[in-house]
Amino acid sequence: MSRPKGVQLMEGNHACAWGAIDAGARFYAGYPITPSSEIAEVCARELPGYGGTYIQMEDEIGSMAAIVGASLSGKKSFTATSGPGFSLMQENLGVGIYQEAPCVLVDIQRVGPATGLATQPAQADVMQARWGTHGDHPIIALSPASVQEMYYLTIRAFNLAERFRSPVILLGDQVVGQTYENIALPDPDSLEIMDRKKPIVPPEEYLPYQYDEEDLVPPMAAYGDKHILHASSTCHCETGYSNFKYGTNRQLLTRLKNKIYNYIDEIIDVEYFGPEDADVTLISFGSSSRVCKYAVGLAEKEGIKVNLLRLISIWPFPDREVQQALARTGAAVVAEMNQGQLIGEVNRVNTTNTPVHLASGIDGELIRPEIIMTSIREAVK
Amino acid sequence: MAVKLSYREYFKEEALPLMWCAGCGNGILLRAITDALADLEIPPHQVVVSTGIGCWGKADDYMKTHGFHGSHGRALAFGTGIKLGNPDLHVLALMGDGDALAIGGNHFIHAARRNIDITAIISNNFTYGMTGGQYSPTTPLSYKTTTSPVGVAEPAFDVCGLAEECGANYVARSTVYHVTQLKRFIAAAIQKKGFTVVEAINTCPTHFGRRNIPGDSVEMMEYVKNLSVPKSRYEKMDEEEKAKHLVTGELVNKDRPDFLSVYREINSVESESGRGEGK
Amino acid sequence: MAKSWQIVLAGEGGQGLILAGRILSEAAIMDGNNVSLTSSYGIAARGGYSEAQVVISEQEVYYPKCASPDLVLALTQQAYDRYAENVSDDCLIIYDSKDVSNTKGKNEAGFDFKEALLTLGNLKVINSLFLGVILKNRDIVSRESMIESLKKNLPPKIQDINLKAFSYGLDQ
Repeated sequence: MSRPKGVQLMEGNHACAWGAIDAGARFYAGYPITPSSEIAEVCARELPGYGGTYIQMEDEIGSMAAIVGASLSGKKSFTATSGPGFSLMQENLGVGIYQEAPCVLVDIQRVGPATGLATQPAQADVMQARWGTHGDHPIIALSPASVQEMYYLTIRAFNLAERFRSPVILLGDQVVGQTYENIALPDPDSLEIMDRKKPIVPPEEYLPYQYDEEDLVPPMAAYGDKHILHASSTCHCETGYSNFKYGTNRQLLTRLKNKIYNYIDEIIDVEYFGPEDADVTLISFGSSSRVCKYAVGLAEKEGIKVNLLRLISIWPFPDREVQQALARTGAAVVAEMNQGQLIGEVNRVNTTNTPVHLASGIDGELIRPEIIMTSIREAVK
Repeated sequence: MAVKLSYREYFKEEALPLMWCAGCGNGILLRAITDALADLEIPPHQVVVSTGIGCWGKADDYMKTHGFHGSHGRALAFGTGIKLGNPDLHVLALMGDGDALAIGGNHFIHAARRNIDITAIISNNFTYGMTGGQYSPTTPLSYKTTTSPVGVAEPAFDVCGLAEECGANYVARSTVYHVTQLKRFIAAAIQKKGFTVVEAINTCPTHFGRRNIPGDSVEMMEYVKNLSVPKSRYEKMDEEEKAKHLVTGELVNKDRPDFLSVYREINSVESESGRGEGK
Repeated sequence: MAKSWQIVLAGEGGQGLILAGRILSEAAIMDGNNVSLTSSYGIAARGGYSEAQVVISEQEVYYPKCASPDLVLALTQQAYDRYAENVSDDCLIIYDSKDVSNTKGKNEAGFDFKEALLTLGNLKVINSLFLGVILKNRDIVSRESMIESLKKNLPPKIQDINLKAFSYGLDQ
């Protein structure tokens, strides 16, 4: 099948796969799991036509490992999973973060814990995306709310991965993954695609983890280059080899954090929806934020002025944007399909002591507008 | 005649001394690998060593080739991505017995089934050395370790038998005592396309030896030497004798097509094309 | 208020509900609308309750589900019971008069799909048939777009019989 063109009906997971291909992904390793498997299916069908490779690994542990490996061999690589599979990927996600292997992990969230409801949506991996792998580390996570955004945010996820030399998580859910919507696929040549920085020094001078001062990111050789790349999951210095000297760990962890947090404005992406000033500000992300937009209209009919701050990038958390929104509103409602994960972050930056309410959708379906409306009414009481 | 390459092209001398215990055979195995690479004249930048976690997992610290040090048990899974990411590479997965067969057992059997073009070099010292000498899937039945103080209640895996059953193209067993043979097997494995396994029976006087082999490093090496018998002699042994020994030699040598060759043929993959220029 | 439609196609696996949802959605896109199609089904690969929900709007679709359906197709009693009590009085329910017996009798239309299929001589074209019946009752999409979408989504070998079934439904 050739690449679809123009306006058409497409499933979110398919849009994600095409976004990856258009971003330059040429390696996919995964293990089938509902509700993400369509991403694997498109990759299996399409990647060979692009000279790429699809491999179905024996489990999600191996899948995450394989995409980190392929990344260091110079390929843009990715995997997609859900629920239990996301848990299994956590250890090697940490390896990717530590070795600074650009790659993309798509998590199409479903209801958990454990097997939960395999075909139903949730947004309960917010904290797992942030802190799922052990140890102190930064992470970038984006949250698409539509099929069109599944396409564009997948491209953005690859671009950020390449720019920051870091794994990036695309935190979707069953609704955005398996809903079909009209989408307009652009000409791939019109897209802005980023590629990792290659070394400019001669091979004998190359130190794989010697970073540039301007962005704290080390230029990246690929396996097979004459620039020797040594990537380690053990504490390492600029040579890439293990190093246990006092100070090395602090230096490495600080740089890994700063290379992202010092350039946070290149990552943060939010949408403001509804009237500028409102009685209640909804704060949400992903598929829940669509229901919030719907609720803005419902509230208007009830005479309540409501707006929405939609987080398109959720990690690093947009402290400043949320803080400003809280300062400007009478009350806030955080709408999420879990028992309260993002709301903890909202409260963390709530320096104005604005009342913050939770609209929690944990019924194994897209959060109903009525749940959000109940919280809005509560907030204006 | 061209100057022969030396193991020094691959071995990182400035990292000496080795971190392994006196009497451990990992240094011997490392020399066998670097000698084999030199004999084959493979440029260091065309080699990636993918290591796991454990004593043998530190081997990449002493290699000047490309290196990957990942997570426990996953050297083959990372290696699979490395190889498929750049099929021109020689990927060597260096794993211990726990690494390859306990936590990484799933990757091991599937790498063999798939016949991915990776050479697995397993340092089998019958124990988890780095964590303090606990029993591993290759600890012989009834042998003592820190977690089997009166003897282990589980039978051991036959590393080579498992690799053979799962479809590896080349399977060989040697020991750190039989250095020349070990080097020869490693070179043959690297040259062979598909999944290849070299099991190096290793010495661990610190943990395994201390609890099971009377004497010190020398006796430990003697134990390894006596434990192993060539195929010709092994085949003449009765079952009771066989159970007390490990057969050495080239146990499998065949030419089943490797994963990527089959994949590319079935999918009619042309050479790598640029962005958006697929068929 | 911009024009919008919320359509539920409910029945059981094997009745082509999801494909029909796609055909309807693509026709709506051809008409220049925004569309959101969701489906729900059990974990079994075949059979069991199945439904497609299609939201069609000239504006951006925020809530992708049918919060207040304008039309429900119910091919089984289970499907009928799921919606009959909850939909507004404005919602038209088209039900299978052979399979659904307990009806509320308000703003609804029974249709004998099985008999129509026997007349058509093909039991596999039920989705094209009910799409015709739906369009006969409500002008959700243009007939031209629907025919084009049917052609686009069906293999050439079975196009004629499906178009025939669609026309048959439209003529009832």
